[in-house]
Amino acid sequence: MSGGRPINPRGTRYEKVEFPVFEFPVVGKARYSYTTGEALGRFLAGLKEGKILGTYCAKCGRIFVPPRIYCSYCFKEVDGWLEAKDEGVVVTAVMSYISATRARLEKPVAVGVIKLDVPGRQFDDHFFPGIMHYICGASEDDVKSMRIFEARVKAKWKRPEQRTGSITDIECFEVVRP
Amino acid sequence: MRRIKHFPEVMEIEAYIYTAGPVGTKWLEALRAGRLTAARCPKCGRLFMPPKMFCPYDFGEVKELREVEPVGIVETYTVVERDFYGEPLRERKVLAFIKFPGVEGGLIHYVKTDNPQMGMKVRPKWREERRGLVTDIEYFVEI
Amino acid sequence: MTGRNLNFKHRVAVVGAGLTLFRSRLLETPQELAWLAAKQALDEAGLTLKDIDCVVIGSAPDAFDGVHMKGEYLAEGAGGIHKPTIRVFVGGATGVFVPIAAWWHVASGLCKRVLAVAEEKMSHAAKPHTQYVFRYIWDPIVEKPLNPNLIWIFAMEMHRYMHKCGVKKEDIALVSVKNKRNACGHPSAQLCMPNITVDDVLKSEVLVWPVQLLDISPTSDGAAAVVLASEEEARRITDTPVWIKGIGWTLDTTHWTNRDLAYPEYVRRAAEMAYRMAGIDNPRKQIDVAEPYDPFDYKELHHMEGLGLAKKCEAPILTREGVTQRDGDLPINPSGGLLGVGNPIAAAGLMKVAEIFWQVRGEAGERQVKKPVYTGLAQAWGDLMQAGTVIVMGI
Repeated sequence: MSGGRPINPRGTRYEKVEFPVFEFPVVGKARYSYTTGEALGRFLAGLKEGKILGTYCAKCGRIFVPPRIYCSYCFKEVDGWLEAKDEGVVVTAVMSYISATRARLEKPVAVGVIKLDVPGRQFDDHFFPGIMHYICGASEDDVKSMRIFEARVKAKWKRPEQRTGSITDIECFEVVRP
Repeated sequence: MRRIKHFPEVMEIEAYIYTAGPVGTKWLEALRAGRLTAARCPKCGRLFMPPKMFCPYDFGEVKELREVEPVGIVETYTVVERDFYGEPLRERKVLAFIKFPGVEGGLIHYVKTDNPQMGMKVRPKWREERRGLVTDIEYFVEI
Repeated sequence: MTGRNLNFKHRVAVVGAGLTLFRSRLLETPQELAWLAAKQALDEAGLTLKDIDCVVIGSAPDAFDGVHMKGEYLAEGAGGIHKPTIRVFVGGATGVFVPIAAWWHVASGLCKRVLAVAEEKMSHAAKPHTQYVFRYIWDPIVEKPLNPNLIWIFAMEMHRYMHKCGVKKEDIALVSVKNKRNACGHPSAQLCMPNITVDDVLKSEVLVWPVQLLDISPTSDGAAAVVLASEEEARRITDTPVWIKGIGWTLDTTHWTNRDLAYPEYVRRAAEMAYRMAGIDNPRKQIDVAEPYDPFDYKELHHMEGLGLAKKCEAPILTREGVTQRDGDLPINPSGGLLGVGNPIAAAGLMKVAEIFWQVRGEAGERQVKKPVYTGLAQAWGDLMQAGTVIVMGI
């Protein structure tokens, strides 16, 4: 067996920033104004009214939540809108102990993917209407033991006057306890 | 059906820390000592600025810095009237690309002059307090 | 060798590979990192820059290095000046996409000797935290307002996989232990941990349950490069060219909340494309060594199944039985993977390709797997749970 490669890979590591750093006089802040498009535009308007809207493709039968205006599988425009229920089951859930900037949270939060109910329709694991959101009413043990999987949850909406037309108009999906 | 047409967002990346590389770091340290240097390729003998640890011409390694006479020639310049955000500057500034004889490349820097000319001979005006940044040269002035 | 249903002019071989150190903070500029790797690959192939006619560069989000048009920025260090040069980018899948794109250049007859370079310098994005750059990956309207941390998605995928396949954390931690130990044989490795145990992994900081600190690969700076050549050139350059037998790549949507996370469908499709081209119908038997993408330990298992190297939910069993060790029947990630060597996003995948290159040639030193290697596979994954790239190489 010949000597292993790579032979002598190079690079100069450094631990601390001990060289002078030029501080740009302006702190970088990029303000974006995303256009929502037709599908998400209506989705957000629906959220403001306390509804979760979706679109459907009559050809393949798929239901899209969050909605799109095209079916990427049949590559055509969707055939219409419908309202999904604001409740469903937990497809997967986790417990976060860190914030978006990797700082430790004082109180851990549960987040997950919720498969939403649509009256008259069943969905398998392959393709379903689903969104990511916070899950409230679930303990650390509920998540670790995996009891949270398949649990029934229902949206906890903000009060109508507090809603702005955003996914945060729903505070969280609350575990439905009998 | 009603639509909400825009969704605002602010992305804040607070700071980037760029490194200058092993040769670049030495170049900045030379600036702090008040010396202008250029990198030298041992294979083709070219001097180039800004420095890097490889020669862009023959792809070989570069480790050496050679001091360069602080006499530059304005290859081209522009007169800057507005700041980063489009607001008028209090004082117009001349931004030039300055070449040094015998050196490939050069420096982009400010030249303090009311009468910029192509081919003007300039020398650096060093700051009193230097840190090891390209701004250790405050600007270039006509010789 | 002909690819079925494929008509291309030239067989393509890998004839050289190079790597820098992978570390969390490297002093070299991005171009210098690209140069270090490119020079090493050229030296190994016995070529100079003049011999290269085309260049392919891979680098992930510009926001890491903090310079836009990163491909163009890196071109000088990657030997791409005054040459046909392109940059490709599919997130983490870039590392394997770079040699795929280089393959097009050579197989079409357009170029004879192509230098493919991948580089990443994540340390530049210093504050608030390098991970913050990943904030751009989310859907800005339905996901970002929830203030997510990228680890959430991985945790959700991991938990779903654990739930569907009945896998415990102990089994998944075995992957981290294997890879971080394997990395001790890799000269570039950032995280060689020769004595790490399952217990260490299970006791490490819990970030987003079930993901813990030692389940994850680090952020890194680093670069990798390979040289590809047409058949005629390859035989002139070396006695042991490693042929590219199959390539495949696939994208899925970013709507990851609408599909089952337990099985990576897009990896399966990319693998099928590569297997069809390589004439492989029983990957478990016909692939001798594999380097699937492992940014998290469960990902190695996930991808093994997507690649058809294990049946659904079977990967943890193979791992537990030692089948995936270097002396096992199907060695997986003998390099130490991303978990052990490091994860400079684009360069990591190309590091795996380089590993397969050296394994096939018997040049992997300490890391060389026990069984004879004729065919190897490297796979990378990227973006928002959507990109799969696969390359099959061998003699």
